[in-house]
Amino acid sequence: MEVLAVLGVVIRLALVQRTDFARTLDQRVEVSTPVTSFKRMQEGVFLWRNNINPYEGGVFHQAPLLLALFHVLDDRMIPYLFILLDILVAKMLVEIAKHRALDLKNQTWRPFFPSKEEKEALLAHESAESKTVTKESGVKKSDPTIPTESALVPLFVGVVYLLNPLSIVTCLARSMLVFNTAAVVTGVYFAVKGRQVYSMFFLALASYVSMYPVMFVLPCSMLIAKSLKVKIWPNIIFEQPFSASPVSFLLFATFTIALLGVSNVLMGSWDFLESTYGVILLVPDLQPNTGLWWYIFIEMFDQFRLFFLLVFQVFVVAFVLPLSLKFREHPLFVVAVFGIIIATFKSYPAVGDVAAYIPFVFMYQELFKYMKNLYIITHLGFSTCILLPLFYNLWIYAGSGNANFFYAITLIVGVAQVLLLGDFIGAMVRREWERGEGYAFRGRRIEVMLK
Amino acid sequence: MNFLNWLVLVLGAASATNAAGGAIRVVEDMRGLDRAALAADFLSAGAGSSGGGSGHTNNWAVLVCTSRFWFNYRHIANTLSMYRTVKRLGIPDSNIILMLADDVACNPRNHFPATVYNNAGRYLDLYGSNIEVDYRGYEVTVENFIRVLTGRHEEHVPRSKRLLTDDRSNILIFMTGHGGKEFLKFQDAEEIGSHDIADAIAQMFEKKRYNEIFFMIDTCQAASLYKQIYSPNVLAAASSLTGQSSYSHHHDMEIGTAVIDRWTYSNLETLEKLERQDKNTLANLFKTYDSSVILSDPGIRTDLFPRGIENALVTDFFGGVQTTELTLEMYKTSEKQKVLPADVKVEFDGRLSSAQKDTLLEKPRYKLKVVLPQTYLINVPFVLCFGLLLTGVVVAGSV
Repeated sequence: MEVLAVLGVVIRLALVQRTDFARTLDQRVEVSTPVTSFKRMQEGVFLWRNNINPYEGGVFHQAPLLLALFHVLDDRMIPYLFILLDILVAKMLVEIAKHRALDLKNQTWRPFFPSKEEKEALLAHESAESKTVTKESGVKKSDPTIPTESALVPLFVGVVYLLNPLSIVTCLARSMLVFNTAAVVTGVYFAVKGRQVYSMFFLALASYVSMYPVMFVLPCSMLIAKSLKVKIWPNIIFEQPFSASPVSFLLFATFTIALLGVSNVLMGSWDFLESTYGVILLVPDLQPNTGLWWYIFIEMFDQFRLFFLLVFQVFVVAFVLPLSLKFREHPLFVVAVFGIIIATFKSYPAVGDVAAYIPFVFMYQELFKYMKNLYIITHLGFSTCILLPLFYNLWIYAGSGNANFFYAITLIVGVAQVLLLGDFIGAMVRREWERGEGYAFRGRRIEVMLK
Repeated sequence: MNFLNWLVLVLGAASATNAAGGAIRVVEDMRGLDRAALAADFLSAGAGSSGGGSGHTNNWAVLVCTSRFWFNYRHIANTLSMYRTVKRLGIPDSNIILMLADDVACNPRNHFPATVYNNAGRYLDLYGSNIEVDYRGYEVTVENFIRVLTGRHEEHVPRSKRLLTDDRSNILIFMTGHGGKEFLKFQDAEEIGSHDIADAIAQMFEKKRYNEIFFMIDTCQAASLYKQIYSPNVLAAASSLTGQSSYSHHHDMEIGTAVIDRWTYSNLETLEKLERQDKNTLANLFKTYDSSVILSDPGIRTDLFPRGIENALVTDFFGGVQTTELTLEMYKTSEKQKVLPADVKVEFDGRLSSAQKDTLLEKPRYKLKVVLPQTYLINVPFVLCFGLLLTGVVVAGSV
């Protein structure tokens, strides 16, 4: 497993040093979007070095602190910075996965007793411990209805991220999504560890770079509450309907304002807000990408534009509260679901967003057996990976296709991700139910018949 | 008086002598003269002509080619030749109304694209790159021609398309195309009659829109078109009399059409020899017409022209001559400037007084801000604030 992780890093290094993929990948619309493109960052840095406001041109839409970072960095060091960030992301994913593995091991299953006698015997035997044991620990299983699950290997999650071709491509193209992913994963890592300040700082950084990670504040505050209180108090507190650390929100707000203030000091004015967050919110640049926004907004009449912008933006953030409430005992799961939602519905998605949520999905491997559509989803994923660049080439370069070809494939991408979302949430719901009240129906197909 | 002003005057006088064809009269003392008498004196002086001057102060030209299509190449060439002549002799583009169908230079049948020649030797490209066609293509209509002459335009018509003459303007009206007895065909779609032309010129007289008109027309039976004019101070010349056709001069084998008409060619042969200061009269021009060469009898109508063709210079109509008078008096252009009368002598000792310096060196109204490219853009406040933020986070996080 370690070999695979190292292989992921070696592939990146080799591709950076030996080949010229970086330049061609930067131009692919599936990888780089107007708000994450490295070419635009270069443009912004050049303009700034020549004492021109980079936000005036309408080309550069990235955060001022990133501008400052790339201003001071040497050109040759930049690809290695991105590889370093990928390594850090993988490391932190491994740590989060370790926490998740522990969590999985500690999950309680309500025991199922076929008859009353067995129940008495089992209760007498297991009065002290309320834990189930799995096959790997060697102790005999007490309840045969509990499914046999292999423990989560934390390093596997890191390998999934490193060897994922989508993340390799994003790293090579030097897309700003790497910063986004790194900040989010770091925020979640510190949340899992219970470090409130650091977690909120990195989440503030993530939402400063692109707006949508603000959705992660709620599950991360729940994670913080969970980890803090589990350490200090037993499960009684955890029974409360909704425990999130309220201080986290305050910290997040403070850090966001501080970052924006620092940017103001750097740029000298508040003009950058319109060019960075205004672009993410109002979507003026309709360059084709793997998302669902560009096609509909290109053909929309101006009088409806604001309405549909509102609808689309609300659609992204509307699931924050309901999902957090429903899965309040599994904040990490909520993080994974929000990752999928963001990657599907955000205004300028790219394959880097997909690469960001896949490790979180793999942390919930026990849900895969409850998912019905995994086969379709994987095959749709593979086919869209091939068809997206193919149809883009056919449309733009060969001229024998049109935008509808490419748009159809983006629709299929959306379908695949929505299927994944539905399946994932459904699997978690089913599993939770089976763990709790549904003990009689574990592992069985359920048919509902109306009489 | 001020040395610089004196210098300007002398140089101006020198250039004016070169540019204008007229004599320069330097009025020494303006205060003693009666203004009205001065004006009358100026206007009657003319361009230093022999005998009675024309009394005009500006020249205009209306050059109309009424034909379109490729086989009427020669009519475009006629008009453009006249255009070139009047421009060469001094009438500016702002005083020329050029009406052409303008469909031969870029015609697909033109072997020499973007050119118009009036000679088989193709010595001179008349189309060039600085001709200004005011009415082109389908804008050349009878209605537009009459509107130009009478000055009755709609509000939106730009100034470049208007004949902005006054009662001191000499106008050259040149028309060429296909004509018949008392009519002229416009663009193969409509025609103008001789009565229309006469009435338009009468309107111009009523509105005092001309001083003198020279009406030239090169069509078949051209003389019939000027027959009905009844306004004073109009001189007319035509390529042929009623009942006669006008002929083209010669073909160009590679262009494939005739390139010039005979009467216009005859006029040009004389006009090309003239310069701006030329003192030749129209009578001399008309004497050069040879019916056996033109193959038609040119018609001249002088009964409406009391001045007489022996007194009218060619440059009265074809050139943009202007009488110039210089004065040594200065105009006041700013509050600080003093008007120096001519009889006050100011010693120039090589140094300017402060008052004179102020008038000469005015401060610029705007400030130039020089922006140097900065290479070090991460400024200190930002570094401080960012450092503060990071330390704050670290400190708060470790608590």
